[in-house]
Amino acid sequence: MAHVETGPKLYGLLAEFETPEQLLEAARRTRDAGYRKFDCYTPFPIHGLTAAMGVKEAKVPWTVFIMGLLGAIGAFSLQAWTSAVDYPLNIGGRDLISWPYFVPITFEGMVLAAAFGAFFGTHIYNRMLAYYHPVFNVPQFARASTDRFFVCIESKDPKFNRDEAYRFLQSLNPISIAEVPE
Amino acid sequence: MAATTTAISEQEVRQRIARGRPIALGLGVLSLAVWATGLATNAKLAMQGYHLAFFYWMGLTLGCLGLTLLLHAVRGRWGLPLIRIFESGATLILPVMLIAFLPVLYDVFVTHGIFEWTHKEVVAQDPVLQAKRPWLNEPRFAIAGVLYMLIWAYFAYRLWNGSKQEDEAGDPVKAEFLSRQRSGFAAFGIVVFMLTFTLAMVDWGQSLQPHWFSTMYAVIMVAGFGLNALALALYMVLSWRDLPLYKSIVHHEGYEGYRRDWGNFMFTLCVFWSYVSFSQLLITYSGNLYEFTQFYLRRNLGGWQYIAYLIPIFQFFVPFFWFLAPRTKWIPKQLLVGVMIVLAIRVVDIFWQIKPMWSETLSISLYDIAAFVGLGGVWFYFMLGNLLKRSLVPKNEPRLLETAH
Repeated sequence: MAHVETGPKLYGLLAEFETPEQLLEAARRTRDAGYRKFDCYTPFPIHGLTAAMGVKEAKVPWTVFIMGLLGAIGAFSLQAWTSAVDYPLNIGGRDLISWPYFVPITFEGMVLAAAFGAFFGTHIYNRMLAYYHPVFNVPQFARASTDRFFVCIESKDPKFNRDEAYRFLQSLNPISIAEVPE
Repeated sequence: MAATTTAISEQEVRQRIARGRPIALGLGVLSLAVWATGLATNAKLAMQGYHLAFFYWMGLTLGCLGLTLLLHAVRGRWGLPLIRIFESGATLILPVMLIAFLPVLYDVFVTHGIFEWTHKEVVAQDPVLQAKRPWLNEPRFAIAGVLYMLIWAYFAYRLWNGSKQEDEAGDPVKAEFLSRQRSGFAAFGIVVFMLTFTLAMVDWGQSLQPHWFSTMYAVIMVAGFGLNALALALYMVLSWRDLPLYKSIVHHEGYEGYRRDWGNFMFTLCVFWSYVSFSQLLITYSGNLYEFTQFYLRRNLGGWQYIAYLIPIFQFFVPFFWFLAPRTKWIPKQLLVGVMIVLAIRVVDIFWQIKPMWSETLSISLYDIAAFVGLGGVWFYFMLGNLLKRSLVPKNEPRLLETAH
């Protein structure tokens, strides 16, 4: 007979801390213990947290950079094509591709595309517009937006084992540890 | 206690400055001697070379004054390790730069090598220059030049003395009070500085091509020389990064560490310089009137165009990406390389701004180099001397002390 799941699936284990310093220490040790799929939840930005978690590089700046470059190239090309190829216009005997004229629009195109890159990049990489997140199933988590700091080791992590992760989190001396149902 | 530790930690930097001073003076005097031989053989060419050098070193002095005023007005934390360098540069106006101005005056009245509008026979045939005579005449040029310097010197020395009082104040509360008092004075100084700077740039730079004029000229120059002065101060501080006093400042790793602000300010000034420079080009290009286009015509032909391509590359594109990268602001050495690129291109930029006024084809004379090095050597000798007169960073400044420990 096949194994039957009883109760909801486990999303992960959530540990609650009282101060940002404890959280930083917890994040560092969680990373050092070899966990990769874990996240931290804080009421305000904490400097050095991304480094402590071992997040390698931010993708948004590069997205903005590449989008800005594409925007600039696109805007310049559009102007060059319209005024030199599609409908050549002689303006005061100047070159058909009079690049000084194209600079303001090229700049605007770059800014527009870069802003889109920043806006959509932030949304996509941060998985914003998520209508449901399992951590909210834990009642203590309500204080994540006021005065508590959380680390959640997710069951997706290849190293995840419920009992081992529980013992590990206990060694970090949290106020509480909760199971997060999916 | 804090004062004595600062005095000890300053020693190595002071020794290094003291070693550099005679070298600067020797190089300067030697170069000026080489330049002086030109007075006998080709006085006009020599004088042109001198004016080029004067324009650059005067501009750098004014860049220092501008940043001194700005820093005292806004009381920025990022500038505290640099402010003594700016003040030392700004106070050179009197007497060093005033004396350096005398050969220019000599040329205006006697040799007539620099300014076209001092040629009587040219002006006699030129109705435009005749109409500009009320401004472009020799006595007015001389009096105004001296007057600008006296006004600048007033602000430079008031702020120098203010900083000195603060160093001697003994306790941070009194220092804070004095610092706030200077802030208002410096803000007023910025207004006076920008007005006089604009007039001075019209006299010393723009009037070299007296038919041409641009309302952007002084703005381009103030951005460029501000950038230049900042790059120089950063060059000094960053090359001292392993000496005791500056180690804790340069290598400060906090989120609000100095390097990030310095890199961002370099970035900002490069972009601002590019913005106003390009605006001048775009407006001139659109208007397409000979009055205005002659500036670019002269600088885009006869070999000058190659330099014209170098300047936007190294004063905009390269610094733009260089100082944009967070890595640059994190690694002191990489920041230093960016600063050196800017310092080098600034000299080329000023050469391209000034030299084509006298020469239609790309050329550089021995006198250009000799006068530049000569005046520069003297400039550094006195500037470093000023720097040694007081503590190298502000004393009694809690905002600096928190990092210096």
